[in-house]
Formats: sequence, structure tokens, C-alpha cells
Amino acid sequence: MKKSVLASLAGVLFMASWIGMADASITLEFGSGVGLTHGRLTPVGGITLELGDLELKNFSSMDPLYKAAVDMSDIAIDPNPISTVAGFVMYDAWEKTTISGFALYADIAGDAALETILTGDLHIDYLIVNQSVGAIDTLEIAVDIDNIQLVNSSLWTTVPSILTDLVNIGEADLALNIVASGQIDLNAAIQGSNLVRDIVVSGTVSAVPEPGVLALFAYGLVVAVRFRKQK
Amino acid sequence: MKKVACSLIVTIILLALSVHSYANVTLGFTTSPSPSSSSFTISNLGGSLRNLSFGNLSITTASDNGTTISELIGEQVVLDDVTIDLGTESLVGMFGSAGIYSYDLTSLILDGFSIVVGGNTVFEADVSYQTLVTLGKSGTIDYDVNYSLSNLRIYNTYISNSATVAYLSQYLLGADMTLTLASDLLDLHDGLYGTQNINGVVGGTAVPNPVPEPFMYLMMGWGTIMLYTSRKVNSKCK
Repeated sequence: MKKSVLASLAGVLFMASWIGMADASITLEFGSGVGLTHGRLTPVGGITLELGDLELKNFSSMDPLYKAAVDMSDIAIDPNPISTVAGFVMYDAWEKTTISGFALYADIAGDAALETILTGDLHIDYLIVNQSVGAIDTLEIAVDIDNIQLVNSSLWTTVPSILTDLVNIGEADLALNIVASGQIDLNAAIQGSNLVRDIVVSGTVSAVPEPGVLALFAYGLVVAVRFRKQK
Repeated sequence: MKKVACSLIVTIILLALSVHSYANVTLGFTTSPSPSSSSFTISNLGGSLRNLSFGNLSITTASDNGTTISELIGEQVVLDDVTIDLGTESLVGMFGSAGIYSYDLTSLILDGFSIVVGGNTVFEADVSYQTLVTLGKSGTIDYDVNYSLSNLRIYNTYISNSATVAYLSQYLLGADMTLTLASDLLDLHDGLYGTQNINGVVGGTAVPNPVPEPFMYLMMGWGTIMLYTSRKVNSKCK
């Protein structure tokens, strides 16, 4: 009995370390597009952060994902702060569109038009602002993107492995930064319902098993051990 | 006395106009879409020192009161590496269990900022960084107003458009630069103490110094006092 438990533990540890190693490369970096529309903060329809035109970063010009477009839902912000710590103000924030609130587009049909290649459901939790900068969901509290799916995959000759890896894990962590041009105080803008026109956005999406997933994994292990014991 | 009041009013109007004229001049940049390995990297230099390399950066926007300076769009911003000293770490505050940490950075880097167009440096400046503040996967460098770019120089031999020269000229009095770092995988504070390199995306803005230098204030103040004194002397003589 002990041998089987030890064997399953070793197996689990091996799997966990393997998953961890594999995940290290499953990241997408993105940000404001070159020569494209920057983000803005607008009081229309409640305080809303529009992220503007975003593109993938750090791909060679030969890569099919080079400059692929990233589309993210607008983010609604409650102007009443949740808490303030050393000048950092935390606001409740949420995505205006959850289902497929995160999407990637690239021209994979070769028709000079962009096709949707990947979607995921978006879950934004908060925005933390200090003067002209802000951070969205940069503390790992919950899964930010789940239900990740390939779209139009039949149009690819070969689907890039980074996309299939993302889909296989199925959920990802998002970290998003914003910086307003012109030393504009974002707290004053949010609380005073002012328009901020020019916001540079940069962010990452990484497929990392969240603590909740690992907890489920551990729970499954305990159940398996008990089952073996009863046998 | 009327003259003094007049000169004061004119001074205030000039100040207001000077602030207004610079208000919509911005430069925005992020990690380059190409080539690969353009991300920022924080690596261990040994001991308490870490090296922050900003990677390849591209200009996403260059705007002069609503007019796009197209010659600069997509061109490179080059930032020299910065050293982070973990020995200067201070815990600024906590959001729940997450800490906000501050670190001092290399104070002055000569020619540490440049804009490269078509392989030629067209703009260069010295950079004074102050602090890196981390919160989870997010890092911010100099979010407050401090004029981090100084000793700015334009090399207009390589600039074809006069609008580009006019745009860059507005930065000559100094500029404020703010940078953000979004880490790929690691919490920045934890990552700084780990063995793995930290990678991710940079976002940044630079805006011209919106107010005249302190020396200008001194000159204007001195001029006003001189005017006031001469008026007093004149009235006594009469």
C-alpha cells in the first residue's frame, strides 16, 4: 500500500514539475500597436477604460503571429475606491464583455483580412492606480482568462504550438499595465469623470495553473489515496 | 506699482501659455513587435545587484498637439541598462498579502536615452532614474513627476522632416519619462530574489518639461524686484 502511495506521489510531483516547466514558455506579450490608436479613459457609459489597438510583441517578422491583433473588452471602473495604500488606490473593475472578451486576430487565410484565431472568456477584478500609471489584475488572485479556444483552426497549415498549449491548459493569468501620457493623474480623472485620451497599454498572458487548480489536483490525490486504502 | 502688477500678470499669462503649449506633446513606446527576444530582462549580477535590460522598444505614438509625427512611428527607443540594488528595498505598503516594494535605481546614465531612426541616432539625452516600485507582476519606474531626461540633443542631419525637428525641439528643456514593466510569469518581488531571469513587456511615455527651469523663475523674480525698486527710487526723487 505504502509503495503505491509513494509511487503515485512521485508521479504527481513529476507531472507537476513537468507542467511547471512547460508553462514557462507559454506566455504572450502584447501592448499598444505601433502607429495605432492608444487606449483612453472615458466617462461615457460610466467610467470606462478602452484599451485601444493592441498587438502581440516579441515575434519575428517571419512568424505567423507577428503583429497579431489583440482585442480585449472595454473595462468598467467603479470610481469609488475600495482601498488606498501609500498613494496606490484600488478600484473595483470588471470587463464589459465576458464571453470571448479576449481574442486574437491574424491574417491566416492570406486574404489581407484578419481572422479570429483564438478566444477566451475574460474576468477582470480590479485596477490599482498611482498618479499616471495603473495596474490591472497584476496580483494573482483568480483566473483572468478561461475557456480558451481555437477559432478557424482549419485555416492554419500548422497551428502555432503556443496557441495549442494555451488551449490545452485552458486558462491563463493576465497582467496589464497602463500609463497616461502627459503626467495626467488617473485618480483625479477616474473620480472626476474626466476624459484621458492617450494611454499606453502593455500586458502579458501566461498559462500558469492557478492555486485553485493545484488545490483540486491535491484533493484528487487525497481521494485516490483513500480509495486505494479502502481497497 | 501698476507696472509691477502688469509685469506680474504678463508673467502669469506667459507661464500659463507655456504649460498649455507643451500639454499635448507626447511620445509613447512599448516593447517592439519584432525581432524576437525584444522583451525586458532582469538578470542577477551577483550579490544584491540585478541588471534591468529594457529590450527593443518601438515608438507607438509621437504626437504634437494632435498632429502625428509619422517619421518617428515604429522607430526605435534605446534605453541603456539600469542596475537595481536589492539592498535599497523598502516595503511601501500592503494590499492584503501583496506588498508594494520600492528599490533605488542607478542615479544618472549619460546618453542613456536615444531615439534611432533608420539606424541613426537623432535624439539623445541623459537619464536620471529614481525608483522602481513593484506590485505583483507590475513594475513602475518614476511614476511621479520628476524630470528624468536632461541634456537633450537633436542630431537633425538624419531627420528629413522639419516637423520632426520642431517636435523634438520641444523636449530640449528636459522631459519626464515614466516606464511600466509587466512580467510574463513571475511576481517581480519574488523574481528578484529567484534564480530565473524575469521577462516581460515595457510601456512608456515621455513628455516635455511643462514649466520653465528654476533659473527662469529666478530671473523673472529678480526683474520684478528691480522694476519695483526703480519705481520707488524714482518716486522718492520726485
